[in-house]
Formats: sequence, C-alpha cells, structure tokens
Amino acid sequence: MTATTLTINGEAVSRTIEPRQHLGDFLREQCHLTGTHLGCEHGVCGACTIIRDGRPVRSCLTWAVSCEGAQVVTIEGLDQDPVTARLRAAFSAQHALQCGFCTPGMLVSCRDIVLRHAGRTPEDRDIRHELSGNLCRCTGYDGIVRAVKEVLADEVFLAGIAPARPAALQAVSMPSRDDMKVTDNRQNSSEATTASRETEKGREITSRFTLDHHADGVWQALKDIRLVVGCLPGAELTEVDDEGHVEGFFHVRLGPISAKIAGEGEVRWDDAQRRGELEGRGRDSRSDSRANGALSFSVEPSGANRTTLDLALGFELTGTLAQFGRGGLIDDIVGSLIDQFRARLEAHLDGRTMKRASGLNPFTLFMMAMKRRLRRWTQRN
Amino acid sequence: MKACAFDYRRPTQLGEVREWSASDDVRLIAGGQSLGPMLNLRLAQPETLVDISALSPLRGFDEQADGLMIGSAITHAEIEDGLLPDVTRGILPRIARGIAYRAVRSRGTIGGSIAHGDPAADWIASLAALGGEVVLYDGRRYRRLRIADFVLGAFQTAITPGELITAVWVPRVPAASRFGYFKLCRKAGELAHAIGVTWRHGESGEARYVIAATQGRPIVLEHDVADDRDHWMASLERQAPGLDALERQLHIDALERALTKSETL
Repeated sequence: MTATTLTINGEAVSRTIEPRQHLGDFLREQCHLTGTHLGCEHGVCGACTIIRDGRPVRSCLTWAVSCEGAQVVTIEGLDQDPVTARLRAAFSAQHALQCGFCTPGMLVSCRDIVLRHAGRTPEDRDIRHELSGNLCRCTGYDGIVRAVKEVLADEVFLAGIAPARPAALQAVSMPSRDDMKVTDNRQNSSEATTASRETEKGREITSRFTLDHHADGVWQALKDIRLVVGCLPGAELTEVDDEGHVEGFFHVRLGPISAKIAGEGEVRWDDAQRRGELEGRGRDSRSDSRANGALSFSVEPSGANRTTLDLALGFELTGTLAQFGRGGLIDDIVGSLIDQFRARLEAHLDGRTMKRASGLNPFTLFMMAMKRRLRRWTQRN
Repeated sequence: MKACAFDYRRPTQLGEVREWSASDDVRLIAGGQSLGPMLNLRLAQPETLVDISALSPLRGFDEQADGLMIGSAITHAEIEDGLLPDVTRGILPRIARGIAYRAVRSRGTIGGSIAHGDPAADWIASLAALGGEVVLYDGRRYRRLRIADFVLGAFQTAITPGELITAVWVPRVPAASRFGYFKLCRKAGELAHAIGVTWRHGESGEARYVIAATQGRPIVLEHDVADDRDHWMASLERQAPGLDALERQLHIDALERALTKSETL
C-alpha cells in the first residue's frame, strides 16, 4: 500500500492505494466516480479514457499510485466544461450515442480532438483516425464523426475557446556521444538456421547444422540426457529413470514475460539409425498455458570429422502464452534456443565448459556466436 | 483482468535506478502502454515495478550539431505535438502520429517502446532506417548502440540487468533526403502486420531499407539496397525464414509501398 495524493476533478484526494490498482478501478471503487467505464482493461477499447495533466489517457493502463501529484479529470469533472457541453448538444443532435457505454470515453477523446483541431476543418478520415482508439458498438461512428464536425464548424463557439497548449519540454545538457563506448553488434549478416511451417498437428520448426566433430562423439553426447538438458538454456532436469522417463522444468523469459513450464516426457534412442525422439508435455501454472510436443533429432556423418545434426520440433501451445504468441514470435524464441543449444553442445564436444544459464539470454547467445565466429576465422587462417 | 500484486518504486535520482533494477523480477516502467496490458493480462508478473517516467534527466532533449538526443521518457504525443526541435524535417512527428491511439501516445514513451522490443514498434522500424541509436546507462557509465543492433529479436534486446535507456539519438536529416514509411494494419492504431521503410541521405546518398514487424528483429538492407523486389524477397527469406508465403508477400508489398510513397524532404 502506497500513500498517494492527487487531484481529482479539482479536489485533493489522499489515499493509501494498492500498487496494482489501476486508476479506473480507483476512480470507480474508491472515489465512486462511476462515469468512467471499463471495457477491455488492456488499452484497446477506449471506454475508460480520462484526462491526466491535460491529456487524454487510458485509466486502465495508469496505475493509481503513479498519479502522485497529478491532475485527474473524469467525465464527472467535465459537467461545466464548455467544450464538453457543446459536444453533448452535438451528440444529442447527431445521434452520436445509443447504449452510452463508450460515451464517457468518446466525450473525453472528442474534446481533445476539438481542442487540437479548433480553427481547422479536418477531413472525415482524419477525425476517424483520431477516433480509432475509442470503440463504439452501436452507432457505427457516423453520428460521432458528425458531432465532432458540427462543433468544429461552430466558429462563434470556438472563438471563445482557448486552444490546447501543451507544456514545453526542457532543453538539458546530455553526456556527449563522443565520450560513450560504442557497442557494435553488427549482426545483419547472420542468417537464421531454423525454418518453420504450420502442420496439422501444430507448428513445426526444423533446424540443420554441422558440427566439426565425429558422428560417434556427437551421438554419444546426444544419448546423455543430462548433458542435452544442460545444453538447453532454461531447462532443468528433476528426474530421469532407466526407461527414458524424464521430468523437469523449463524457464522461458521473453521481455517482461517469464514462464516456468513444468513437464514430463519420454526419450527414445535408435542406435542403428542414430535417431532419437523426446516427446513431452508441460504446463505453466502462472499463465495457465499448456504445451505439448516432440523433438526429434538425427545424426549423419558429413565428412571425416564433420557431422550434420537435424532437429525437428513440433509443438502445440494453448492458453495465455499461445494468445500472446503472434505467429512467428515463437519461432524466434525457438530459433534462439536452438542457436544456444548448438553453441553449448559444440563447447562440450570441444572439451570446453560453459556456464549454465538460468534462462534464455540473447546477449549471452550473441557473445557466444561472436566468439565462435572468431574462433573459426582464426582456425581458417 | 487485473494485474497481480507488485511493489511500486519511484526513484527520484537516475543513480537509484540501478539499485532497484538489478534483480531479475523487477521491470522498469515508463508510460506503461505496452507493459500495462501484459500486466493486466497477467502475462507479466514482476515483483516490483520501478517507475522512471518522471525522472527529469529522461524528460529533456539536447540538440547537437549533427542530431538530437531525445530523453527516453519523452512521450509519443509530445513528439507528435512538435515540442522537440525538428531535426528530421517532420519525420518524427509523422511517425509518432501513427502510433496506437492519442490516449496511448499521451503516456507511451520513445525509450519505453524501444526497450520493449516489440517487432511491430514504429520507432524501432523508422529509427533503424534513419541510423538512430540508444544510449544506455548502468549507473556508472554510458554506452550507445545502433537501434538495428539493440533489438536482437522479438522482445529481446541487448540491454543488461541494471541498465536503462536514458536517451535516443536521432541524426539530423539534410535537405534532399528521401523517406518513405508504410505500415499495414487492418485497423488504424493496431500493431502492424508489416512495416516497410525506405531512407536515402540527402548529402551522402547513404541508403537503408527496413522490413519490420516480421516477429523477429528488423531486417535492414544497407550495403545492398536495390529497388528490386526479388532481391528484397531473397533477403527476407534468408533472414526471416519463419514467415509463410502470404506474410512474405505482405512485407514486400509494404516496402514497395513505402518506396512508391517516399518523398523528398
């Protein structure tokens, strides 16, 4: 709980607020200002739009504790506001509302549009662009666009209105660029080693790479499940039995998202064909997401001391993580994972030891890739 | 949905950020317009949020001979409203105007958007083309790197624990430069399905084309810029093999439209 003082509709309000409470809930539940409506609660619908320090903001994406010292104005605080009063008349005349759920957010956004466009005559498409952050399911927007145009065409009314004047930004002295270390990560020449496609069973990601080692050694390494798991950043083995049953965790970090997938699986090796398969399923209780899939791998000599390793990962993801995973996003994560796996496996085969990572770390991955390239380059010369 | 419980800290000095942010379960938050939805959907469940949006060193700008340092907590709306010196001949306000919605632009910041590393972020795509840089500070010293290099993949950046973006560097755009930007959205303001950017420096002739919103890091064509769809397609297939035929087509079309609509500034 955090003590916070802010101004709401001109009145100072001091409360102890739970940090996770967003401003929309705070206004409705603590201040009983129920004119602010909550729709999607992730910034898409615009119903909860209020004014903070003179600008329209999403109250569902504003933490109430972050409003220390802020000036908040809700639809209730706009009763006497001349632009809102003029808009209310225009909304009535133009049939710009029906059920009224979006209307508080619409009025706040339309007021902002009028203040920023006063003295100009924006095209319909510009008004629609400006309104694109407020969803209305009843009127189909025509009435709302007409209402905004009606107010913007009322020159007599607008003559008495002060246009929006945002606060100026401060010129400051910043550290000189010349004194900063330049981290040069030129990486656009690198090529992805993975490919993916959509199959009936879900997504399949394949990768093929060559290791400068004898196929026997590579196969032996792949038969050591502890070693294989040790080469997968974020993977942790808790149980292995003689029949190839494994249990463990998989930590995935992706920007702000962190998942710990608990899972189990069976691993099978075919010594004659030098092929293997790990089939498994898991669940992340935090995000209530499930994953199941199979990783198959095969080893093929491609020279005296060269081996080609083929990996194919087919998987299906359901739950919150899947909703978030827009198309190729998961490919990108799996691609990084495979690159790191390869680097670690190579390090093991070279007889080098590597630090175990606690999760997917692209920076480490990148550094490893650079070192590998450097090594190859020096070997070649 | 409602966010899970978290602790909230608001440092008053830049130096305090490091102290708070070195641990794994801490997220820095500025405008919170990308992190906020993830918190509300419980995709992200950090233990602590460190709010850097009001730190004054991040809220200013510094105009220099060859470009502009923009404090990382400057909002998209402030850029849209022309509150910064215009060193880009109108490019920055134009890009800002196309980001999400006005009420999101009021809070969303340029530094936060880049730090988030969403492949569909407008600043990442456009500034990768202009040759922009991020300035990172770890409490002791500053370093800088090109935005095209800072973004390693989807939501993955070269930032290290304890570091924060203090500023974004935008090089000055000379007369006779050409710039084109096209993003493909089904609805105004949503995250783009494909972004194409073309850029040619008015004095040096240096050119960069960017294909973004590929779900990975932006693809930058800079030493091999050619107005040739087959060449673009080959680069796209090589660098983003996860895209299907339709997605590839959309990205190439976006770049072609950016080129067709590009203007001399």
